[in-house]
Amino acid sequence: MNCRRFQLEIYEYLDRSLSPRAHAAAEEHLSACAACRQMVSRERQIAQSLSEKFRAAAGSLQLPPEVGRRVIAALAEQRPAPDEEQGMAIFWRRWALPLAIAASGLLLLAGFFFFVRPPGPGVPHSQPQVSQDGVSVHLSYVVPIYTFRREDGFVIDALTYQTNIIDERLGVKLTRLQ
Amino acid sequence: MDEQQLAQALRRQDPGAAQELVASCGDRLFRSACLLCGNEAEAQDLVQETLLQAVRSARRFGGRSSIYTWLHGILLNLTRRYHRDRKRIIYDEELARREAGTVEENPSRLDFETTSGALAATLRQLSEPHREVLVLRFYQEMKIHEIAACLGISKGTVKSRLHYAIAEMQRRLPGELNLFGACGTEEKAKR
Repeated sequence: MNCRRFQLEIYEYLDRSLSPRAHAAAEEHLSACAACRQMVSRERQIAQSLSEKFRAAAGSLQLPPEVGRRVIAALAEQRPAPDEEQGMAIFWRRWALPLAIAASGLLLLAGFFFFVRPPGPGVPHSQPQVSQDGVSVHLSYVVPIYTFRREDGFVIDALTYQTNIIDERLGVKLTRLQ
Repeated sequence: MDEQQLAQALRRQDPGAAQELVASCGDRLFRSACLLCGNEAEAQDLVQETLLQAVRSARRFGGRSSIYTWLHGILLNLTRRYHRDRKRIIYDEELARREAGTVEENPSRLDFETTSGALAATLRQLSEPHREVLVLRFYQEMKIHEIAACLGISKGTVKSRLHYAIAEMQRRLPGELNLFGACGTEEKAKR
């Protein structure tokens, strides 16, 4: 260990928080280096002097009893929440965001699955049927419904789908343009 | 009540735990608060707020440090906020005084400020980061790695702040109070 290295680690040396090997190396360096020994001595003197000054300035101060009483009174005024409510509050604080993200993901998937996928064979999806009497529109769409409820400290959720069908015949007389 | 029992009682919001906390840590926190903010009345408020915050958020105490270290972390945060607000208040007061055109007398000093005047005054002149490391190192007697963990900074930064803070104390403390006693002037010149 050289002087520069020792001076970088002088506080750790004084704290005795160096590894045994590094501490031994520091001791070895100190035994051979008067300048570093002097530096250690000065740092110890400063530490002792400042500790004494701080203790002399603040060591006899005591927290006035009324401060403690005010703390205890302020806490007593707060009505503690029942354990169960606190448990649920903690549960919701922890899980509300992940649940909301999961629910949103499911809704997106459901939307993709039911709306982007082409209709099956023979199922009239949204093609208007034109006849002489007017326009017949057959439209089906699916609404995903996400529900959740609390039961005995558990949250039970469900994703269901409701298929809505609109079958309208518009009584508009069409005239063929020649 | 040992540390673990006290931590459990705090998490249960046991009324006795708050009393125990005040009795075991109140004085020590108060002394540190006085050194950090330099004002006894403000230190009382800071300690009161520290203890209230600690009891209210006791469930979040993970037990990775001692209860006192955790409390002292809350105190440091509150003290920083106090200094930020104080700067604003001083600025506002100066503005108000200028507008009113009156010169105010020095505010009355409390016990801590009068009995430890030179040290308190010198500490007040230091920047907040330098004051914090000095109090943690020489009053709380924390090791370098403990200070780094407490302030959330690297060990290198702690050592650097400590070096400059000591040099500044040595420069600012009056002769009879300097860090090397009666022969301090010579040492002071060397540093």
